[in-house]
Formats: sequence, structure tokens, C-alpha cells
Amino acid sequence: MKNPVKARAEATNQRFQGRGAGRRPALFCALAALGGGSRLPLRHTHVLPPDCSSRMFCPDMTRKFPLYVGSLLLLSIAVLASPTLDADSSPAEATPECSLVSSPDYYEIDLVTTRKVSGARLAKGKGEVTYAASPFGISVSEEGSYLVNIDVSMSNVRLDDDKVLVAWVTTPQLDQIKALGTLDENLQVTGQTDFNKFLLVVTLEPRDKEPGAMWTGPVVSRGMSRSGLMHTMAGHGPFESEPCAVYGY
Amino acid sequence: MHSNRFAGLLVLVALLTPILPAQAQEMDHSMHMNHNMPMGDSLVWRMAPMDGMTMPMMPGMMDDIPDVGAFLPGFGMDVSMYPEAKPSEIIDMADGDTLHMDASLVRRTIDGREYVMMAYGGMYPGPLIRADRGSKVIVEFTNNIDMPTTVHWHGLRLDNAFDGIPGLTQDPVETGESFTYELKFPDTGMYWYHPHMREDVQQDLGLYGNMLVDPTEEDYYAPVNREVPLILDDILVDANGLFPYGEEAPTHALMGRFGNVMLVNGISDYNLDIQAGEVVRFYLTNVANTRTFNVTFDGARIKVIADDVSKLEREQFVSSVIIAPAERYIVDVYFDEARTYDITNSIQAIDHFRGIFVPETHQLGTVTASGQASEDNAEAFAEARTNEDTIADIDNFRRYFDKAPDHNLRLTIETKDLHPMTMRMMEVDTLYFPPIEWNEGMPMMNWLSTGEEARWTLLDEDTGKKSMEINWQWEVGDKVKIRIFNDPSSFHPMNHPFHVHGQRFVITHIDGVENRNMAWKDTAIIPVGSTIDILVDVTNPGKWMAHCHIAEHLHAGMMLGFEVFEQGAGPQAGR
Repeated sequence: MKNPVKARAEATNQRFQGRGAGRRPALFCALAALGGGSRLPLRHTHVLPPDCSSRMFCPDMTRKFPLYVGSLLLLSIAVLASPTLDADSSPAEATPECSLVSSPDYYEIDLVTTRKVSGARLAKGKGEVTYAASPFGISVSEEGSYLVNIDVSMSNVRLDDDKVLVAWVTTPQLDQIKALGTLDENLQVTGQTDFNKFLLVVTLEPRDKEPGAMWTGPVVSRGMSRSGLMHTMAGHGPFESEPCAVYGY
Repeated sequence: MHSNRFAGLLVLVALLTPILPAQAQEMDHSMHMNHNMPMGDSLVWRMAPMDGMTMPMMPGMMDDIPDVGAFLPGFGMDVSMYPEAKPSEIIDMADGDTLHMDASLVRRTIDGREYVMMAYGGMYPGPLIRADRGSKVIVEFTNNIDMPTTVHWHGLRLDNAFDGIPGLTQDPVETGESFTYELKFPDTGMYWYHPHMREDVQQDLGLYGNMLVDPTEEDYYAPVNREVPLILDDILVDANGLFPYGEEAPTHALMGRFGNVMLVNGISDYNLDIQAGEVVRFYLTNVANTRTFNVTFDGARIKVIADDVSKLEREQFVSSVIIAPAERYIVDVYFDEARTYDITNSIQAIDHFRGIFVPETHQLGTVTASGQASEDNAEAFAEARTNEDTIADIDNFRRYFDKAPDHNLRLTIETKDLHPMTMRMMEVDTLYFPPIEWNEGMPMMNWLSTGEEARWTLLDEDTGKKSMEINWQWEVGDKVKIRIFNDPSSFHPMNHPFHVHGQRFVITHIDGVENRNMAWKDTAIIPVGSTIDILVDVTNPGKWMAHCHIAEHLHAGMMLGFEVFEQGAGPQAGR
């Protein structure tokens, strides 16, 4: 099963081969920004061109600046930085200091719009999943459930002044619901959950009311956790012995 | 011509006749047919324990066995001829002392049944070597088991010649031979020693022990009422005894060998008697082949104070302790009530058949608290200390935390001639792999995979070199950043505890998130899909290894080499 993210990155990386290892990282960031959107190729890929000796993850400029400003800024960095790079130096030494800022692709949740809410019919969104802080590198509850932070972000949304977006997590059976929080003016919010499988739901709620036990407004977008994709072989295929609906999937 | 053929047939029948009754006897085992034919006293495969497996047996797999021979130490021998192993003892060693220690076959009783196993110094676990930081001791080691072996002193930044790596730092110690190890203890903490040849067998059979390095500073740790080492392990048994190992190569190569009997300090019914109100310092070591534990103390408050090689920057209260193979954690636990506390491994197991998480709790032992503690350390326990010494030490390295990686490593796997049903099942079941394999979800497929068919791989993304093709070259004084990505798109992604020999490192970032409470480590768990950045403090010259510490993965190839030169003497010097 070909990884579409990897395939896209491979196509991007192939375009840049042979242009000088020392200059590559800054150009990557600049051209990726020109490509638009928050998905800079190097942030979400783990494939490098064969002669690129460092994996650069540049700060996501698109959240903080309009796209054209971000592109101009990165291009400027590329132009200014290029003459100072020593072609014989190790690429690891010559590249600017960038930190890995991406959560794992594998667990990222794509938020798909329901197309039912005015102002958000073309909304895009995602939930980036990382482990809650822990001295063990991974965080689980006393019962062994993964404790994760979810960074929710939305775009392409126009809201009335009296409305806000609220993010929720719920089990696939909808028997447990927890509010992650109200998205801020940048349409972002961070929350935490220890649900083994969960749906990430964003709804349209009144601004003047705190989120309750469950949502009251329409669902704007929703997505499934990676763990939620774990399906039952008991429900279909060569081992079918029970209806799929028993497991809700 | 016809008479010659007939005579030949008669000879053949005559030769086979003594074997046939034995074969008929062996045919009684399990669901299998078409076993390896038993030849004399050789061990034959039987169906592996399928505890908790809910998946129906797939057609075409019921008759299958691993494509390697079966092996058990002392097979066919009278178990009573082996000496009975004794519980571990603490060996206090002063600077310059010498310990004579062997590895031998012993008899051990677990859950009322006797097994032929292995032991260091005739003890289970091996003797706890206790020494002061900064001291040096000698271990005169003799191999009295029926396999070649070495001893690796896990986590110690000792001289390279004594690291215990066959073919790299020493020749294997053959049966009856000896080797002298010189140990030095530059870092306070809990360490452990184990074989570095066929660990999947020797370590699993009991060849492991602790080394406790005491601080020389006053008030290094907070006061507690008592200190207790806990070595966590598991072992795989069935109605016939210990389950055999692969002779030519490890079985269980895909996920590692999960045991079905939990052991703490070598026993299945561990109990610690204390007084109510005590604060107990547990030195936890995970020596299991592959199992990661989530350890809880039945509601007692837990404070983690130290990691593999150092204290944490800040002590931290936690609800449970996640400990991967080869890791150590030092935790203080407050037992405030007079009652029995269960020590458990609490996990969310995966039922692959139904595609659901299933809570499981495995009993590891108990702590029985009664009466009243004579010394009250509750107030000291309540404080989560900030360890300025650790912070100051790590401060020297903070400017390197955001540097670009010097090496990019991908964790993946290559397979060859795996069972076709295994291949098909893995292709079907690829929608989700959990960050951590807490349980053995596919025991049959796991058992059938050998180290010849599943080659776990460390891929250097910068050079394309794989596993032992890799030989990184560093110099003393280097601060090397390694980015390690556990590729979820590989054939069978799984968590890996990554261990670096001879040096220490900090984890700087986990999936792009800065680690805000660091400690020096030698082993780090890398969940599926995650990217871990580590910064290695290179101080120790010589030829070393780094590898996954799941025993079956190590012996299926998941290792690389690196060489540390003296400052200015490396290949890059003068450029």
C-alpha cells in the first residue's frame, strides 16, 4: 500500500535533486511554502533525496503570516543564506537551526467537512496527535490507555460573530463525549484524551455558552483516530462470524 | 534388477522400523501433523502456547512449524542432576575487588514446576553487584553452560575491551573458558549485565543480574525507608515445560518472544513485607525479551526520580511506570495504608480478530503493608525535587539540542520467504499498528517467523546503508544528534527500545515536542510512527554497537556499529 504522503514527497524531492546539498534545505522550505497550505513537504515526509544529508523541518510560517508574505520571507532567506554556505562543508553544519515541529503523520487525523454548515462547507482541518508529557517518552493512563494531546486546527471557515467552533472527542459508539475546548481566533485548540479509539468532532456552538456534556450545534467536521481504523476481522472476510455492526465499524 | 530393488526396500524398511513407534508416540502432540521426524533424543516442535488468541487458526497454518530446529538446554537429561539455583545475593564490592562468577545450568522451580535454566553465580537473578561511583572492580567470568557466551555490562561507560561484544571487543567465551572483565562505574544508578550471544535464549533462561552504583554525594536521593531492586521478566511455558527456542536462529522474530508467566526477581509469586507508611525505593529493570510493562502499585503514589543513567531534571509523580526492555527506572512509592497492594502490569491489549482494545491486568507481585513505619518519610516523598546537578550537567549540552541531525535512522524490516498466510494477514491488517505492542496479538504468525525470514533493519537514510553495514565514526568530545524514525509503513512496524553501548544520551525531542524533563539514558523506546531525537555525549573511545534491545530483533539483524576515535584522531580530523 503506497503511502500517498511519501509519494508526494518523493515527487517533490526528485524535482530538487542536483541543485547543491548546501542550499537545499532553505530552498525546500521556500518552495514548499509557495506550494501553499500548511503541509510543507519536509514536515510530513521521511524520505530524502539520496544526496541530502539532513532532514530539515522548518517552522510552519503559514500559520503566522499570509501565504504570500511567508513565501517572500522564505525566498529572501534562501537568497541571503546561499552565498554564505560553504559547498565543501558538511550539510549538517551549514543548515540553519530548525526543529522538528511535526507530529507523526501516522496518527494525524484529517477533519472532513460535513458540508452542512454555512461558512464552513469547504472547511479544512486536522488533529495533530502527540503524546502527553511523560518521563517515559510515551504516556499512558494507569489502565494502559494512551494519553495524547490533540492539536486541532481549522481553516477556510467564516463564522458569524455569535458563533464559535468547539472540538470534541467521542468514542465510535458515541457513549462517551468530552469537550477538548473552544477554537481560538486562529481556529486552533489543544486538548487531551485517553480514549483508545475516538472520533474528533468540531461543531458550531453559541459563543456565549461554555461547552456542556455534549455538543448542541451542527457538526462542521469530523475525523477518526488512527486506532479507530482498526477493524474487525470477525465481522467480515474469511473469518466472518459476527455482524460488523457489533463493533460499530 | 527387481530382486535388487526389493532388497533395497527391505533394507529401508528395516532402517525405518525403530523410528516408527517413536513417531507414532510423537504424533499425539497437539493439532500438528507432519512434525520434524524425531531422530533419537532430538527435540521436536510442538504447537506454541496460544494464550488469549481469539483469531481462528488460518487454513494452511495448522501443520506448520518454524523453519529452524528446536532447542532447550539440558533436553533429555534428568533435571535433578542440576544444582538448585539460589535467590540473588548482594555482593558489596570495594574499589579493586575481584568477583569470580560463572554462568551455569541450574534447576529452578517456578509455579511448582522444575525447569533446567541458566544462572550467573548459581543465583536467580544473578548476584547484585553493588559498588560506589568512581570505583573499579574485576569480574573473573567462567562459562559453564553448553553454549558460547559473553557478558555485556549494560549502561556502564566502561573501557571498550570489556563491553562483551563477540567479534567486536572479544572472542566468544567457549564452554569451560574464562574471561576477565574490568568494570568501572562513572555514573550513579542501576545497571544490569547479561549475555550478548543468543540473548533470546540465554537471557531468557535467567542470565541477568543488576549492578547498583551508589552515589558518593550526601543527600543525592531523598530519604526512604527501604530500597528494593525489582527485575521484571516473563517466560514462555506450556504443559510440557519450557517452550523450545530456535536452534539455528530465533523464532518469534516478528514481535519477539512474549512469555506467559510473569516473573519478578525470578519468581512468579513475589511479595514484599513492609510497614504501613513506608516509602520504598524500587529500582526497576526490565529484562524481558520483548515485553514493555506498564507497572502500577494499586493506587500507591509513585514518584519517578531517576532514569537509566542519571536522575531526572525534576522528580515527577506518575500514575504508572512504562518500562521497555533494557530500561531502568528508580521510583519512590508511598504505601500509606495498611493493606496488600498488588503490583500489576496494566495494559490495553489488542484483540486483532475483533479489532478492539481489551483491558488486561497481569499480577506481578504484592506489597503487604502492616503495622506502622518507624521512620516517617512522607514529607520528603511529597516533594518533587529539582535536581540542580542533573540540570547543570545537561546545561552543557543545551546549545546542541536544536542542531540538525548528524544521522538519520529509519527503523524498518525486510522479509524473505515468510509464511504466505503471514504475508496476506499483514497486508489485510495494515490499517493500524499500535504505538506499543503490549501483548502478543498474533502468536502463531509470530512463532513461525524466524530471524532468517524477518530481517529487522536500521536504515541510514543519508547513506542508504543498512544495519551492520553502518559504521559511524565519531571522536571523543562530539555531541552527536541522531534522529530515529520508526516507519509505520514498513511490513510490520513495532516499537523498538534503542540502546547505545558505551555512551550516554538525552532525548531532546519526541515527535517534534521538546523534552522538558530530561535524564541521561542508554536505552530509549521508539513507538510506531514516532520520531525521536537523541543527543549522544561521546566520551568513550573504541568500537561499539547500537541496536534494538528486543532480543529476537537484535538477532534478526537490528544493529549497527560506530567507532569512537580519540579527539583529533578520527577520519575527519584535519579537514
